[in-house]
Amino acid sequence: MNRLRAALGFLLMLVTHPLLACAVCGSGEADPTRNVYAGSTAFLSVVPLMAIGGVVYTIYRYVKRGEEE
Amino acid sequence: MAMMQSVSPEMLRQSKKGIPSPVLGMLIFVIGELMFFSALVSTRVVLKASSGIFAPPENVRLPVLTTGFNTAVLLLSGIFMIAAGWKHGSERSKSLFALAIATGLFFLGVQGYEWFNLLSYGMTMTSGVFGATFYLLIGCHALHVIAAVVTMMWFYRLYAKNQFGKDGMLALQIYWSFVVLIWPVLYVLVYF
Repeated sequence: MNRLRAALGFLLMLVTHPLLACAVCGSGEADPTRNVYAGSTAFLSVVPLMAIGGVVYTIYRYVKRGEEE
Repeated sequence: MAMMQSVSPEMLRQSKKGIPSPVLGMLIFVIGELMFFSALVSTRVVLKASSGIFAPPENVRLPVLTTGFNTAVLLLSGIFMIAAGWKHGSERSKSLFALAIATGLFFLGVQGYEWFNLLSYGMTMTSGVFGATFYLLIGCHALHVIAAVVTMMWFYRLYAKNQFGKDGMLALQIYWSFVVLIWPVLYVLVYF
């Protein structure tokens, strides 16, 4: 019985489509809006990390220069 | 008072190792500004992809060449400001600072004239998604330029009396460089 359940579950996994639970995912995987949304999310995730990294590097340079003088 | 008396020359030397407060404050502020403009840019990109028609009204054509020239003027203003910082304290630096302000004002004048024409042709914030995002993005940048130019004029008065230090100048340079360098990105994104 358990094997039958597992086989049915596996079959269900094969026939179902992924559930896309975001505001712009409804129109399918090839939708440009979805790609742009993902791209902008990645962009907005990377920008603060790079900016903070830049500030930390600037502070490091100042301290290093101060130590050398 | 007791604290002030206990500051030794060694402690003062140590304190000079760090980053100047105006520079650090400005860098943190610019990070916030960068995020603000990044959010606006993302909004426009997402709306452009999702809306069917994304163009100005039929009888309106964006002044790409004029704005391109204006972009070059703003970049020149940034160069003047950087050069003014390099030669800080000299008479030449004051002239370069004044030129940076003048070119910034020129940029604002051309932008204002452009907006006047676009509005008179009927392109307003309610002219669809394109109009709304155009005025939001360009308007926010223009507000930053106005704030920067007013601040620069204020500090120029102090600089003329030799009351404006190198750290303050560097902080102002950082802000002006940010405002100048973000503009070509907005120009390419909005006008093309």
